[in-house]
Amino acid sequence: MSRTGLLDAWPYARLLGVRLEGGEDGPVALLPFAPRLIGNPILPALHGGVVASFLELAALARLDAEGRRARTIDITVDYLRPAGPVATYAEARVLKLGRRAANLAVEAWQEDRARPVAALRGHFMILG
Amino acid sequence: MPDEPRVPDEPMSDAAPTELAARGTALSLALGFETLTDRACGMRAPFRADLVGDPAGGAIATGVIFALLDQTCGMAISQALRNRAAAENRALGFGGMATLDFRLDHIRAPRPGAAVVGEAECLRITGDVAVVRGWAYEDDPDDPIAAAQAAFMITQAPSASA
Repeated sequence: MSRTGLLDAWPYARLLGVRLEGGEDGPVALLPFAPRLIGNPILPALHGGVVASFLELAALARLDAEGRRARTIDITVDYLRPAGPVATYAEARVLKLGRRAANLAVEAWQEDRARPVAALRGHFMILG
Repeated sequence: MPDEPRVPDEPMSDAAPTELAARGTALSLALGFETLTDRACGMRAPFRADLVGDPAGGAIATGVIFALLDQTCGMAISQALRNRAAAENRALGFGGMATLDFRLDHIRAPRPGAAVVGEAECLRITGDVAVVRGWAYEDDPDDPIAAAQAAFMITQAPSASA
């Protein structure tokens, strides 16, 4: 019996088009490019808020995959390179999974895994 | 003041050049953000079913609040740069800005079904780095939903000849 994943259940995740894709070392989150995600039309580049939302959703989906429902306490996003008008990928690592809160680190990249475009650190309240 | 912002020489990030940030971006339009005219740097994210995060809560997603405050923080910096240029009686030789880091603390969950307002102020521009903070609320600024603290790099400093 399969249960619906967080990225299918959350309307905002569906609006952005975020989904999970199989990677070599397990699933990675995928954000396909869409013109409405642009924040800077001159470069062009994805909106910083889109990049952050994508990283946050990747973290929440990672916890969801472990059967943990969570709510964001705080996140910090470091912007490392421009995120261009192409697909973006993200992988989330659970640094600490406690009874009440979890700490995760997420990295996002585009064409080259070794050249991340953004990184997130955050705390998430475990709801159940 | 130039009509159109110039392209940064070495674009580093995703933040919009000054006038673009004030006009709204493709994303802010897609999310339905409205610019508030009764305050310096504010935007409202209307409540929409497709902006909901966790359907169990029914409130606007935390990611929407992040995008809202990222946008208003950019607006606050644009305004600070305009004010500085005006105070120094020179043209705004400004290309763009790039977010270095952005922290968002969620103080409480937004009310289900409620629109969210985001506001920001630029605390200081030192050299090429702007420090800015933002906050989000439904109706009462003294009852905030979330607080942001961010640093941006000004990607093209005003030239001496501008």
